[in-house]
This record gives sequence, C-alpha cells and structure tokens, in this order.
Amino acid sequence: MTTVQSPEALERSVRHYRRLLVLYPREFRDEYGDDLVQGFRDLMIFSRDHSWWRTTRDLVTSATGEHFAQIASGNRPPPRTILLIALAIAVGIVVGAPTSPEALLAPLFLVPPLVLAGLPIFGVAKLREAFVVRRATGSPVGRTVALGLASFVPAAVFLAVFGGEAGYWIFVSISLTLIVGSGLGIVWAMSTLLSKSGAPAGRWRPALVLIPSVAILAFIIGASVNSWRNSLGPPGDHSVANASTDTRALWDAADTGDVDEVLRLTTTTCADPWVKFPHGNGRHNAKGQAETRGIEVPDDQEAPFDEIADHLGRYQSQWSDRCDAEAD
Amino acid sequence: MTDAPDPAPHLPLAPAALHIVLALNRGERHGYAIMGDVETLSDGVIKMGPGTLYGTIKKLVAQGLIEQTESRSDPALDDQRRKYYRLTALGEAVCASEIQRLANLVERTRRPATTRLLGELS
Repeated sequence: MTTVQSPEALERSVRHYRRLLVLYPREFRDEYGDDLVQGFRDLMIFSRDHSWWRTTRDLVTSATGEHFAQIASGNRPPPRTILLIALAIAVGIVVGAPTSPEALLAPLFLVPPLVLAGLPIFGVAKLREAFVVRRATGSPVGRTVALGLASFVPAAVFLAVFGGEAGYWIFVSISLTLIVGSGLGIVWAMSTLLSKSGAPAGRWRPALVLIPSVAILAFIIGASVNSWRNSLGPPGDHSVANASTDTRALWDAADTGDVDEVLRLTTTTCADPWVKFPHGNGRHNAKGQAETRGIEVPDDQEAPFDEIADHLGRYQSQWSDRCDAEAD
Repeated sequence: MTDAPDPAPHLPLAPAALHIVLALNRGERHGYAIMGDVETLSDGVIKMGPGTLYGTIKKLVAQGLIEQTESRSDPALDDQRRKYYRLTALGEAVCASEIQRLANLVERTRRPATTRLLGELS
C-alpha cells in the first residue's frame, strides 16, 4: 500500500530524518547512514501505518542502544555524546523542576563543570574537537577565537537575563569548574606519579598539575570555611527570642526599605545585625528577604534595598568593635 | 574438513535478532523487505524501524550469523541502492536450533494442559 504524499513532502521528511541521524555514533552513521535513510524512505512510500511517532521511538531507542554498545565495547564515545548527555540532563532538570522563566537558564551553569568532568573519559584532544567550529572558521587561529567568543555566551546570557544577579551564577559556575578541574588534576597527577615511581623522567609534568590543583582546591575550601564562619557572626546569643526592640525595629525597617530608619538605628543603637530570623538576616539581598516575608518589592523600587544591604554589610563588620560584642 | 558451526553460544536470540534471522531464512532480503517480513511473521505485532533493523543487523554481522551479499540469486532482486543480506552457514545452524528450541518450549508448555484435558475427559 502506498501512502499519499507529494514528492516534495517526502524529500522534506527524508531531509529531516537524515539530520536526526546525528543522534547515532559516528561509526554507526558512517556504516549504515545511507541504509537507514533508504529504509526510512521505503517506509514513507510503502508502509500504510508509518508515523513520525514510530520513527522517533525507533530512533531514540536504537541510538541509545548504539551508544551503550559503543561504550560497552571499550570505545570512547565521541565528545558530541557527552554534550548531548549534558544537554539531556539540562533538559531533564528544566522539565523536572518547577521553574520560573529565569530558572530555565540555570542548568547552563552546569555545562562548564560537566564538560570538564568529561575530560578523563575523552582526553584533551577529543574534548578540544568538540569545540572546534569547522564550518564557521577555517584556520586554527579562527577556531581559537571562535572558542574564546563561545565561552562568553553563557555569561552573556546570564547577564542579559539576571542583570545584577548574574555575577552570583557566574561565580557558581567558575567555582564548580575550578573544583572539578582541581579534583581531576589531583587524581591524574597522583595516579601518574604513582605509576611512574620507577621512572623519574617526566615527573615534572604531573607535579606542575598537582601543585596548582592543590593550591586552588585549598584556596576554595579555605574561602568557603571562612565565609561560613563569617556568616555565623561573633560569639553570643543571636536568637530571635533574645532580639531586642531595636533589633526588631532594624529588621522591620530593612524589610520595608526604610533607609533613613536603618541608618538611624545602626548609628544610635546596638541593634544586632547577626540575629537569625527565619527569613535570613538581609545582608546580601534585602529585597529577596523582604519578599520571603510576603512584602512585594517592584523592580523599580529596588534601589533602597540595595543600599540597605550594602549598609548592613558594613554595619556587621563594625558591630563587634562598636558595641563590644554585646548583643544589645 | 571443517567442523560444523556450533550454534549454542548464540542461543537464545533476542526478539529483534530472531525475527530478522527468521526473515532471512526465507532467502536474501534488503532492509525494507526484512522489515515487511518481520511484520508479516509476527502478525503485525512487531513493527521494526530502520534504527532497530540496522542496529540488529550490525550485531548479527559481527557475530557471523548473516552477511551482506553482492551477487543476486534472482536478477529481479537487483537494486543497486540497497544492500542485501543472507544467512551464513552459522546463521542457518543458529536459526534451525532456535526454531527447535522454541518448538520444544511450546511443546513442553502445552503438554500439561493436554494431560489435564485428557484427565478430565476420562
């Protein structure tokens, strides 16, 4: 039985199908790509109940099977595979999580550390191939420039969408990348050093990786511990139950964006800036904390909250000296 | 003198492989003809797509159960665009053994029912 379909529609469908073959491993595609297209074309022409649903299901299941078969056979999957997997994970996160429009972009910050995590699987050369833009650029210099420009894309997207808060996401992305990279560097250097214990030649290379990796990881761990300790505040009772009238007045003023009242209370009283209200202490994002308490802050009225957040940050650092570490 | 190929290591066949082997047991076929035969043999239950077909063909070729054929036994089959496949000697042995294995399975499954029926009749 022949399906009723114009030659143009048929060729269009075949073109789409040929593009989808990119989902298969390269070796399989090279060997059976033309046969797959011919089989699809025959199905389109002769099969009565052919559908794109059937084709898609067949494509996804068989492509997944081929990738697993390739890994099981000991062959390294091509870099494109890990990028597709990273993309699938990102899509899964997006679909699976209750999201806001901005949160749809959040998985992007996982891409650099995920790509880096693929390093031991693919090797440097293969990973580099994943970023080579062959069609757009012809020379190695052009490729490097394209790669450099492409690396700014996630940051640019974050800046465009998150505005001032983009810095936080970029910081998270860089930190994760450094953590993953340092960890991999340490593992590689140690395993190389241990395996070459009988052959001193060439030991300098793992040492060159090991030293900065340990330094970076130590710096990140140290900075994180320091940041955590700073967030605890000085010793003393910072509980809500023990908060004074001035302290409560300070946080009410902060939550409502009353800059003058915040300035007055932080200069004339010893209101505790470290008290642990359930909604946070408002140091980093007064607007966010206010909204946590159900106080809506329009975007065009953020300025006072930013000013209060900056001021409270300074007040926290000076509070111990000025008030002699006594909570009110 | 060569030994007869031993089918045992290849048994049992996975469903997709089984249906392709059964289709090729009727003679050499190209991809779409195999898909059509699989659908007919399974009463329309199994509708194989190109991805599953060639993924399984790749495995069967690697196992030496089928091979691509250049010469056409029937000139009417000659279509340059298509690759034709046929069973190897090992593939024929595996096919025969698998059919026998499945026949034994069906026979063993039916026997208790028949015995029960005879018991009730007596």
